[in-house]
Order: sequence, then C-alpha cells, then structure tokens
Amino acid sequence: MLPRNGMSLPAGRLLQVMFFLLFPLWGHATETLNLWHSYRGAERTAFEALIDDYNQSQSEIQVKALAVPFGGYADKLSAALPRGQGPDLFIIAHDRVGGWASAGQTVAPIDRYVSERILRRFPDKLLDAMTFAGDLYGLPLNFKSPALILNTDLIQTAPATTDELVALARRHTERSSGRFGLAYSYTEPFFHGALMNSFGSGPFDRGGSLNLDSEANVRSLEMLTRWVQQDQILPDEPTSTLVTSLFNQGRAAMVISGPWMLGEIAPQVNYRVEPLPINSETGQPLAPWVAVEGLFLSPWSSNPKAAVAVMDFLTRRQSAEKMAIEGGQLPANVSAFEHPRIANDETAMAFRRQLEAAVPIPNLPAMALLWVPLENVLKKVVKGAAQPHAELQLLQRRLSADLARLERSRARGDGPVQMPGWLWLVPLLLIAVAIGLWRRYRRKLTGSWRANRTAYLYILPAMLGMLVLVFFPLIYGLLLSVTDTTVFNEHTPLWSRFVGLDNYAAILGDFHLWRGEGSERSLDFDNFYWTLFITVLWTASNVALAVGLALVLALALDRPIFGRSIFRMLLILPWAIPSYITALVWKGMFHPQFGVINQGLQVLGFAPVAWFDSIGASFFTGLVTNVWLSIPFMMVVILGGLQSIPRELYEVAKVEGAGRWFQFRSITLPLLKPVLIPAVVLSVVWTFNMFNVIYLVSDGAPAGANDILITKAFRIGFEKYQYAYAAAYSMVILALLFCYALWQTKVSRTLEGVR
Amino acid sequence: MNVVLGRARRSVPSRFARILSDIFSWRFALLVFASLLVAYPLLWVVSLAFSGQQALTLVQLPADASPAQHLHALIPLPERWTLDNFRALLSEQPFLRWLGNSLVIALATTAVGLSLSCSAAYAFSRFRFAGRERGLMLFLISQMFPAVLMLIPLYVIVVQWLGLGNSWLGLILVYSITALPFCVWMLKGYFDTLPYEIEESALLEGASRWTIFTRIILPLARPAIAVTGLFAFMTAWNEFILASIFMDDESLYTVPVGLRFFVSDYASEWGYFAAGSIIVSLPVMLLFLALQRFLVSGLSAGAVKG
Repeated sequence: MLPRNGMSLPAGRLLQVMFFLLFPLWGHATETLNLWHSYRGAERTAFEALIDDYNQSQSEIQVKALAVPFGGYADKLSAALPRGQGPDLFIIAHDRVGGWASAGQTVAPIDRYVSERILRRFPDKLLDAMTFAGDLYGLPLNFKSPALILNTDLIQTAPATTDELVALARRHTERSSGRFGLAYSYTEPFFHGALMNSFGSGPFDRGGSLNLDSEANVRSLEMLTRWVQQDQILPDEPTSTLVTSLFNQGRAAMVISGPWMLGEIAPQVNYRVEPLPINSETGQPLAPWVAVEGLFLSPWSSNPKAAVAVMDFLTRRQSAEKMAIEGGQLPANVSAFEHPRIANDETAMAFRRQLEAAVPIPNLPAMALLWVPLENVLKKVVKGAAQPHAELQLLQRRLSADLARLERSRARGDGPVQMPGWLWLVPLLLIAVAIGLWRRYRRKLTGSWRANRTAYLYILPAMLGMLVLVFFPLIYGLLLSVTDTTVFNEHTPLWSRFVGLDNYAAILGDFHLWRGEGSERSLDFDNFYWTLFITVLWTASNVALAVGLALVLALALDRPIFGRSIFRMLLILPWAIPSYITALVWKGMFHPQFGVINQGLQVLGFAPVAWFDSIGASFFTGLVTNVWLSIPFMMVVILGGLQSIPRELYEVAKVEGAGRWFQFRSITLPLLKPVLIPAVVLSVVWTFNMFNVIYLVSDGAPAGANDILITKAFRIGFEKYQYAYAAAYSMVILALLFCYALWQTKVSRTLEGVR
Repeated sequence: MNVVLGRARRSVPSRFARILSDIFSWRFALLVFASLLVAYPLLWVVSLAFSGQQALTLVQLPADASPAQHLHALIPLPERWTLDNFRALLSEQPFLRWLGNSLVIALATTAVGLSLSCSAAYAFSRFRFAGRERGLMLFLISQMFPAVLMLIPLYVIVVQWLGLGNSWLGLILVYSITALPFCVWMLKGYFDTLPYEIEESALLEGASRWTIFTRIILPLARPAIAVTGLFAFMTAWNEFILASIFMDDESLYTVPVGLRFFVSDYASEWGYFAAGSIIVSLPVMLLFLALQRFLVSGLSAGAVKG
C-alpha cells in the first residue's frame, strides 16, 4: 500500500509522457491546472461545484482543486512557490501581495492577460487591493469586512453616530451580570482599523510611509480607551469566540463582526446587519478594513493564459451569483448583487453598503510588520497601562528602524552582483582540509573501523538519517545567520548578502535593557538578555515541576492499588488529546471575566486575577498549562524506568530496617538515574524550545514580556521578515543548549565517579 | 472442592478490606486529586464535543447566586447531550480515511524509528568505541535547533532533492528521524540498566552479537521499547505543519491536517474540533492499553536471578 501510494505520481507522469510521445497527434491534450484554496463547509462545496462546471464546459483544461487548512496555508504557499513548486493558481486574502511581490518568484502580475472587459466587473477599490507598485497581481473574488450586527430583540434601530452608539450601548450594559452593549475584538488591529480610518488615513500616510503617531491615530486610540474605561461598554479580553458566545446568549446587544460570523449565530437569535455609524468627532463614517480574497497566478505556471481564463470564469457574473447564493460569499463582481435572491437578502446588501465606506487593508509589505506590535499597543493602552501618544510614538520609532533594516537589505540586493574571486578558495580550502585530516588520521580511523565494525554498523542507519535530515538544515541555518537575508533579497546570490557576524553582534551586544525616560522608564522586553532570563526561568521551573510531580505520581502508581489502571489511563489523557485544543481550553479557563479559574477564586472569596496583565501571572498561565501537558509523558518514562529496579533490593532494605525515604534515596533514585537523566536533558531542550504553549496561551503577554527565545525568533523571522536575524537567534539558542548539555553530562559523570 | 470454596469465602472480605484500606490511604487521595486536576480541562473538551454547539454557553448567574449555583457553574456540562458534532465531522469530510492514513503513517514511523534506534542504542550502550560520546551528543544537538526554522530546509530536502513530496514515505522518514534522538537516548539509558552478566555468559556459550541483541536484550527491554514506541507513535500522530506542507492530495492527508480545517483566522468551529480531538485520542488510548502491561510488573526482575 505504502510504496504504491508514494510512487504513483512519478510513475503516472512517466506513463503520461510516454503516451504523448507515442501519440503526438491523437486528439487534444488535456492540461491540468492546480488550484489551491482554504475553503471549507458550504463555501467549499459551492466552489468545487463551480470548478466542476468549468471542467465540463471545455475539454482542454482540467482544474484540480486542493483544499489546505488555513493554519498551514500561507506556510505551504511560501514553502512551495519560491522553489518552483506549488499550484498554478491560488486564492488568498490580498494583504500578503505586497510582501510576496517584493520577495519575487511567488506571485506573477497578470496585467497583460486580462482585458478591460474583465476589469470592469469590479469596483476600483477592490482592484486597488490587488495592485502593488502599479502591477495587477490578481482578480478579486470576494470581500470580507466587519459591519454592525444588532440583536433585534434588544435594539430595533441602528445608531447613526458613535455618540448614539455609546449611549445605546450604555443602556444595554450591565457588567455585574455579564451583559454588554457592544462587543468586538477591539484589541485586534483589523477591527480597530474602522476607528483609525474614520479619523485619518490609517497607519500609513497617502504616500505609503509609516505614520503611526499621527494626530488621527492617537485620537482613534483615545476614543477606544474612553469606550473601554469610561463608558465601560465593552467586555475584557475579547476573542472572536467570546464575542460570538455573548451574542448568541443575548448578552451582547451589538457586535462588530463580519460575514464569517453569520454561520455561527444561534437560530433563536434575531439579528440584522447594518453599516457602521458615523464618527461623531469627525463626521466621517467608521471605515472598516476589508480583506479581499483574490485569485493569484503563480510565476511558474506553464500556461498563464489558461490560468487567467479560469480566473475569468470564476469571477463572471453567473459564478459570482452561485458563490453568493450557495457559498454565502460577498462577491467582488458586484453585478451579482442585482440577482433577485441576493438583492432581497438584507444581510448581504448591508455588507454591500458597508463596502462603500470600507478601505482595503494596505497591501504594503510593511503592513505585515504592524499587526502584532500594534495589537500589543492596543492591549496596553485600553488597560490604561500606557498613554496613546507616547506608545504610538515609540512604536513608530521602532517599526521605522525595522523598515530601514529591510530597506538596507533591499538596496544591497539591488547593487551590482559579482561573485568575489576569493570565494572559489573556500571549496578548495575545504577539500585541502579534508585531505589533510584524512592523511593525519587515516591509520587511526581505519584501525578504529576494523576494531569496532559491529558497533558502527549498528549505528550507521540512524546516523545516516540524522545527517541528511538534521545536519543539512543546521548548515543552512548557519549560512543564513551570517547574511542579512530578508524578504527583499532572498533570491539574490548568497555572497551578496554576506555580513559576517553582524547579526550575532547585534543580538549579544544589545545591552539596552531600559527604554523611555524618567517616569516612563521601563524594562525593554525586546532585549535579548531579558528574553534569555525569562527562558531560563521558564525552562527551570517547568522541568523541575514536571519531573517532580511525575515522579510522585509514578511512585504512587508503581505498587498495586485499587483502580490503578483507571488512574493510569486518566493521567495519560493530556498527552493523547491534541494539545492545540487543550492549550486553548486553558487559555479560556484563565479568561479574566468569564474563565472558571477566576470564578472559582470568587467562590472561595478571593479577588479575581487579571491573568494576562502582569508578567508573573501571565508566566504562571503558561507554566500551569505546560506542566499539565508534560506530566503524562514524564510519568510514562519513569514508570518504564521503575520496572527495571529489582524488587529484591527493597526486600533486603526492609529486612535491614531501612525507612521509606532511605529506600527512595539509596535504591530508587540511583537506579532510576540512567533513565531519568536523558529524560531530563531532553525535556530541558524541548521546554527551552516550547513554541506552542507560549504562542497559544499567553502569547508573550503583556507586550512580549513573556516571550521566550524561540517565540522571539519566530516573530523576528515571520512577523518582521528578517530571516537571517532569526537564524542567528536560533544558532544562539543552539549554542546555549549545547553548553547546557556539555555541562549536564559532565556533572552526571562526576556524580557517577563519586558513587 | 471444599477447600477452594472456603478459600473463596475467606478472600471476599479480605479483598474488601484491602480495597477499603487502599481507598483510605494517602496514596489513593493523591491519585484522586491528581486525576481530577488532569481531567478537569478535558471535561470542557468533552462537553463541547457533545454539546452540538461550536462554543460553550457562558455561565449566566443571577446576581444573588447561592454558593451551590456558583459551584454548579464551574462544572462543565452541555445544555443537552447530542452526537451532532460527531455526525457532522464524519459526514462532511473523509475523516475516517484520514484517520486510517494517520494510523499507517504513525505505525510505520514507530516501526522504522524503533528498529533504527534499538540497534543504535544497543551499540552506544554495549560497545566502547572511538566517537561514542560525540555520536551521542550529535543526536542531542539535532533536538536543539528550533523546529519552526527547519521547515524550509526540510522542504528542500524531502520535496526537491529526494522527490518524496506528496508521499507517505517522505513523512515517515522525517517523523522517524525526528523521533530518533529521544528513542536512542532513552533506550541507551534502559539498556545500561540491564546487567551485563547475561550477555557475557551467552557470549561464552558462542552466541553471536546479533543473537544476543534480538534474543536477550530486546525481550528484556520491553518496558523501554513500549515507552519509546509510544513516543515515536505520538511524534507522527499529532504532527500538523509538515503533513500539510508535504501533501498535495487531499486523499493523502493525515488526521491532524483534517482537524485543522475547522480553525481559521476569522471563524472557528471548536465543537467539531473537540469532537475530532476525542476521536483522534481513541487510538492512542487503545495503544496505551495494549502497551501498559509492559509498564506494570517487573519483567527484568526475574531474569537477573537466572
């Protein structure tokens, strides 16, 4: 079964090639175009029906669609496309276009394949979203923007201005019983865009340069802070799941959300969608950001003309109507809104009206750098932990520096590229060194091979696998870390990006532990040494707790007791259930307003804790979750180890009158050591690099203070596009762990010597 | 006959007494407490899965709620029990097929990983040779490089160089090698605890190294093999990102990939996800049930005497 499935593709291709070689004139060749998307549910069914229609409408081109889960979609595209793999066509939201177009080799312009006739289908706004630096990169398929959703049992008429909105919301807010006039994910920049854009031009000025600390943006933050702190119309720590739950239970009179929420509104809730109100301070309508899903073309497509023909088919009016009616999409081909079934759909038409005021998310590459730091600023400011103006100024300075870095790397990539002559010496030198080493150690090596052939043969298969799959990535990382590779110069030759040890110097030489002046002075959580401190603390506390508790539980389970197998089964459960959902359950349990932990505290008479506001509490959330997740594994390892301890030893000890504690110290622990030490070493390494728990539970809250080195490296690489800097971070992690492992083996060996 | 009956009659009360003394022991209290702590977050997953909804109802307490009401609010129970989420999960997608794919991949990973690591660990434990310590350290180093940044190099090797994209073989290879370092280190540790005397006498009787390895060491190390096997299985079982990047054919997806369809940036169907998670954990539980007899009684204890 396995090889057949594995090999079917190349074999199939070979047959195909032979077939065409033998019968070159035999009818039309059907060509397959691959299309990737991340739809599911009704949207997917409607879309695949459309693809079937296309495949049946003609015989030359067959489109093959592949659905990829959202969580892996962008990674899959950015792994495949720049390497000449991947689909001919793909569907994704437009805000990545700028980054990908700048990176090159990921997405291709389609200007020369599309006619005026096709372009006339779409509003200019949506075409602008697909355009970067003057080139059109795709055709818009549908749009998604937030709007106001009312619970019509509570509110009949929509507020026309923000003042009315606040007044109305205040009337429907009753915090003690968990009722709110308004609920939305207000700390997410995507949602805050509506306010920002109604005050001014958003994070960028008209020329496209970063303008975060503008008067307009400060005012937008001040308005939001007023809503949260003075008017108190909004719930704490809003996530999209919380907003939906509140609305479904009639505990949120109004929510700001998009078409994606409609499917999840409970059937007993009566609702209506309305465009967002007018900002009372500026007289401009709140202008939410709109994400435009587009059809994009791969630069490697063998038949771009046919691919664009597919785009043409998928965006024509009939297709748009089908996607709207059966798939629930808001089609970018707005003529579809004239179809009677859509024109009579109040909800769809409300979103259509909202589009008039909406603004496409800026598709500049710089936008990708903005999401996370801006979210941190929003979280801080609405809690009153920082002033809008000062905080935005700080962010502006910081992001400008990041952008300048990216620009420098681009300038370097644009410069004249010639391979320096001395580079030829490197391989020669390597060969010379290899020959030298071989000569020097030949006798020793062959001798050792002859003496230990059996041992080497036993190890060889495992070693070979490791060499291929582990050490190549390591060398790749090492090479990357001595360059200044970013998204802009990824495809220039390696030697043109060489910067030596600059990245390491920047990381290790960063002693700016403090930021701000006077009373504003605070620890700089982006500093390497702070992150290192947190990482060491995180690792030490996790491993100590997990190993200690697992040892206690394993000892309790080792001897027979009533219900032992049931306990064993229960205690192993956290390992068996995918940690993705359990980590999020823990996050939900720590929710300051609705989490059970705070409710439990209140039952016991304690004050609730704002879990994600302070460094200690937030650290604790991650710690608890990770210990909970890692105990079962540790326990199983120790249980296995306990099996190899001969029972006779205990009997002898008992006869000699040794107590429990003495037995544990002198028999159990020493005999468990060969198993325990590798387990401890490995769990230190894993916990040091534990990405998921931090990312899912505390997400470095507050403001990145609880990030560990690995999440920091990820943010630098994937949220700031500085691949080389992230690689250098990883090499530093590697070096630190290597030193730890050396130390640990040395210590355990000296212990051995003592015994 | 009479003797047997008499013994049975006597043993019933004594069994009861033992159970009672078990129940009132500290050890039992500790285990109950730990199990409750461990199970509580999972109850939320279970009740979400069986609620038929995509999000759990938030507790709605009256202002003057009694302590009993407060306590009741802390216990996660769905408003009504239904299998709707499971039904939708199994009908909307080829979920069972993906589960089967995952089983094949995870079992193959276990087999490949165990056979590679058992032999390597045996050599590390029983032979003294040049490069032994360095070799062990090499295995450890491989775990130190952050996995998130290995994605692109792995893609280059497996898909571009080896041409194993869109095949299970590529995934099995990557997974079993990812699991290797742990397996080798762990098994080496267990092998070290096995007394060398048995092997010595076998060597004297003229047995080959291979015979000793397969006939004596492996059977003795069954608890260790069970633990490492479970680990290798789990490495492959829950992996999402590589599987979604390597596979270009929906019929070849593994079950974690299928589960992730329910989560996106905008809207997430946590009810389906919870239901899927429970189904996904069942094979793991079965495997553990099958393996746990190796973790119970001292297997090697008897062998040493002989």
